[in-house]
Amino acid sequence: MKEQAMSKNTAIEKLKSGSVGIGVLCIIVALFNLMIILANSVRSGLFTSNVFTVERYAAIRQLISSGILTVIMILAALMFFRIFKDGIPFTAKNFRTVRIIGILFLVNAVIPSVSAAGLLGTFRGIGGIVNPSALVEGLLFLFIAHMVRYGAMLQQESDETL
Amino acid sequence: MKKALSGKTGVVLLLRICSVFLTLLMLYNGICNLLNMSNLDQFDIQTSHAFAVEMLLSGLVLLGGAAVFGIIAYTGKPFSRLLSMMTGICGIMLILLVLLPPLVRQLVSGGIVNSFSEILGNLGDDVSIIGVLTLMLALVMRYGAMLQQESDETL
Repeated sequence: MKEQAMSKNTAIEKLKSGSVGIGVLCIIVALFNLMIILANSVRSGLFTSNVFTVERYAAIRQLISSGILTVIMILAALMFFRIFKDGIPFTAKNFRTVRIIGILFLVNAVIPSVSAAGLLGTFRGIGGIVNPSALVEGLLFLFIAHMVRYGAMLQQESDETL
Repeated sequence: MKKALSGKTGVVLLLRICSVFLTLLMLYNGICNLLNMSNLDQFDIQTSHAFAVEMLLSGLVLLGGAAVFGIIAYTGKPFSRLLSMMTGICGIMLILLVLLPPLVRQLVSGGIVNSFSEILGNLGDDVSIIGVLTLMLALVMRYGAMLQQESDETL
C-alpha cells in the first residue's frame, strides 16, 4: 500500500512537471497563431473586396482557423497550468475544458470554409467544406473528455476511500 | 436517458460505443496508409523514400491507435498500464513522423545540413504538438491506471 502511494506520488510529480512544459508550449503555439492572424489581417485587400480567388479564400479560411486554434491552445494551457497547480488531472473542470476543446475542433472542421465562402459570396470552386482531420481530432477530444470524466469518478472514489 | 448516462456504467457504455467507431476509423485509415506505401511512381527518388517512411509511420500510429481503442471497447476500461504504454509508443512515433521524413529526404539527396533546418521548420507542425500531447496523455493514463487498480482492489 505504501509502495503504491509512493508510485502515485511519483506519477503526480511527473504529471506536474510535464504539465508546466506543455502549458508553456501551448502558449507559444497560441502566440505563433496570433502572429499568423496579424500577418494575414494586414495583407491588403483580404476583406475589402468580394472578388473570389482561391488565394483569398485560402487566406480567410486560414485566418478563421488560426483564431479557433488560438482559443483551443489558450484553453489547453489553462488546463495544464491547473493540473500543475493541483496535481490532479481528473476533475469536473478539466472534463468541461476538454469537451469545449473537442467542440471547437468540430467547429474548426466546418466554420472556416463556410464563413470564407460566405464572405466571398460563392460556394463554387472551394472543394470540400468539411475538414476531415479536424473532424477526427474533435471526435478524439470528445472521447478523451469522457475518459477524464470516468477518471474523475475513480478519483472521487479514491478520495472517499482514503 | 441523460441520468442513465451520467453514472459510471453509462460513461463506460459511451466509451465502448465511441471506441468501436474510432477503432474502425483508425483501422481503415491505417490500412489505407500502409497500402499507399507502394504508390511511389508519381514521385522522384528523394520524395518517394520520404513518402514511404511517412506512410509507414502514420499507418503504424493509426493501427496502434486502433489497437488502443479496440482494447478499450473490449475491456470497457480506459486506464491500464498496457494502454498507457501503447499510447506512449504512439506519441513517440508521431514525433518521429515529423522528424524522419525530412531527414530521409535529405539523406537520399546526400545533404544533412538542410534536413535540420527542415526538421526545425516542421517542429511547429500540428503533428509534433499532437505527439507531445499524446505523451502527456500516456502519463495521465498511467495515473488513471493506478486509480483503476485502487478501485478494483476496493471492490
